[in-house]
Amino acid sequence: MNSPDLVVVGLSHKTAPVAVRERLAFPSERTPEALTRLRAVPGCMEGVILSTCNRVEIYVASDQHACGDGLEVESVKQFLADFHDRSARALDGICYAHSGGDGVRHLFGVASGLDSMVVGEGEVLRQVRGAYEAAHAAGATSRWLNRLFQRAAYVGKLVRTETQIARGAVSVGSVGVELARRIFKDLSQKRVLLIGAGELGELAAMHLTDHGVGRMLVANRSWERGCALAERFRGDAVAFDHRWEAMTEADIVIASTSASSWIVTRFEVEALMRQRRGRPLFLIDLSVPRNIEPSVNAVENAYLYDIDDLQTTVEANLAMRRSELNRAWRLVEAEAAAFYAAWSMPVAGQHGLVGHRVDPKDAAASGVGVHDAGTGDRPVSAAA
Amino acid sequence: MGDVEFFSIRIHTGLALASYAAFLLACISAVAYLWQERKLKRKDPRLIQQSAPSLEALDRLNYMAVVVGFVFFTVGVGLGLRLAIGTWDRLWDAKLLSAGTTWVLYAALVYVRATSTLRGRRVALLSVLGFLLVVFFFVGVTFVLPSRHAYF
Repeated sequence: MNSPDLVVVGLSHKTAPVAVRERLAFPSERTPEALTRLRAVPGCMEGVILSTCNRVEIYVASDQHACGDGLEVESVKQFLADFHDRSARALDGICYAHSGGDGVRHLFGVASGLDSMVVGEGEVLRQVRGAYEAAHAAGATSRWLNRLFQRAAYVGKLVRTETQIARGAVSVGSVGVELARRIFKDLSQKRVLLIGAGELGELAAMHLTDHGVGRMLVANRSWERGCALAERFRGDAVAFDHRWEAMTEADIVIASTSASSWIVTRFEVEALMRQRRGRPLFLIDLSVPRNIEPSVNAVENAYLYDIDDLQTTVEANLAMRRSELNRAWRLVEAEAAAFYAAWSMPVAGQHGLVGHRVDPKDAAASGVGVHDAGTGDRPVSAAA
Repeated sequence: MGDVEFFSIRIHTGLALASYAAFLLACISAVAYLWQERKLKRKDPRLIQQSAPSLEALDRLNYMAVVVGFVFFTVGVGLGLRLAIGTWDRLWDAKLLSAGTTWVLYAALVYVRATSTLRGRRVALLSVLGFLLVVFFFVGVTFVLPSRHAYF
């Protein structure tokens, strides 16, 4: 028996605008139905549908005997079009298709976050796993795609640990958290004062709360809004006029108001630091125009970052991730080549298959390297 | 030299060396603190790309090392002083002077830390200065200035 061929048809943020992607997305509640219809496509043995905000992709293990070369791609495209009541020609130019080793390479790259909008982001790996699990639960996958997707999950983890692709914070909020961690040892012992109810400030406060910051205080001009925010963070509201006392207590101050002048000046912070006996203070100014006088950064033991400072760090981290892309792709290519070599070898019976299965968890835990893990598959299939 | 004296000299030397080791550790953590503090103030975007202990952790390590070193130093020098009183004819000696100066400096450092008179960068600088002084005295008294202090 010959190995089936792998066919990938899809569209992503790189090929189609969101207005198109949303029309071609598969809502999770319709996925089982879609998978059933996909498997009715002639030649389709197994299928997985990956549908996220940034991509819609269909993975098919196709029976080469039933379909001629190239035919399978067209029928999968046709399925995608039919399912969304569109003509297949509407998909021309926005869809890409891969088959065989290129398809494996593509999936491994996607799982590793190399094709993501924010390079190296981890969400996509969870989405790939989720898509596979949904297909598996619907009975749409079997030996071939099981192996492929388990391997993809392993490669996704491998690439993230072996390269810098997922290193460094890439959002303003997470940069704030990382900086706070460079100043303070244990965030759970620290207090945060949020001044104002701006969107960015709220986001930064949310990040800090997620990372287990001790106590959250909210000082807002509108008392009601302040209370509502404080409730969301399980913190306490402080009267705007009493923000000074709160600042004496706080370790991290986030300013995010719509005020058009300084609400915290250098003179005030100097007095504050004397009251605090020099206890370090981390100030994050997320307002535009800025709310904290920039020279506050010159006050001893006070560290002031404004939105541009955080953005610069975000850019630097993104650049670092991008600079790792080539290395990450080489890793993905090596993994894909090894995997596909084992996949495309003729299989005589069940023995080979059992040997093929590499549990990503086992492989990762035993520290099996890139090439070892890849070639580990080979002797088994050669023997079979 | 009696057994007790010989034993005292061993302890005196051991404590002195242990205190130097602690002061060195304090100095290293202070340098790391100053380096990271500078990067934070200058908003170096590469700062958070490397993993490093927080300023607070470095500061605490520094404090601990200074206090431990100071205790060792005090006991060690006290022991040495007792020995010197029993054996030397006069105490006006380069080694004793330098030990006294070092003791005063670290006592001051422990004091400003305990009372939080100074914080952060300044105490880190003081602890680097303290260790430079220790090294200077060590080299100076051992190899340059005359002292009755036998070995170092």
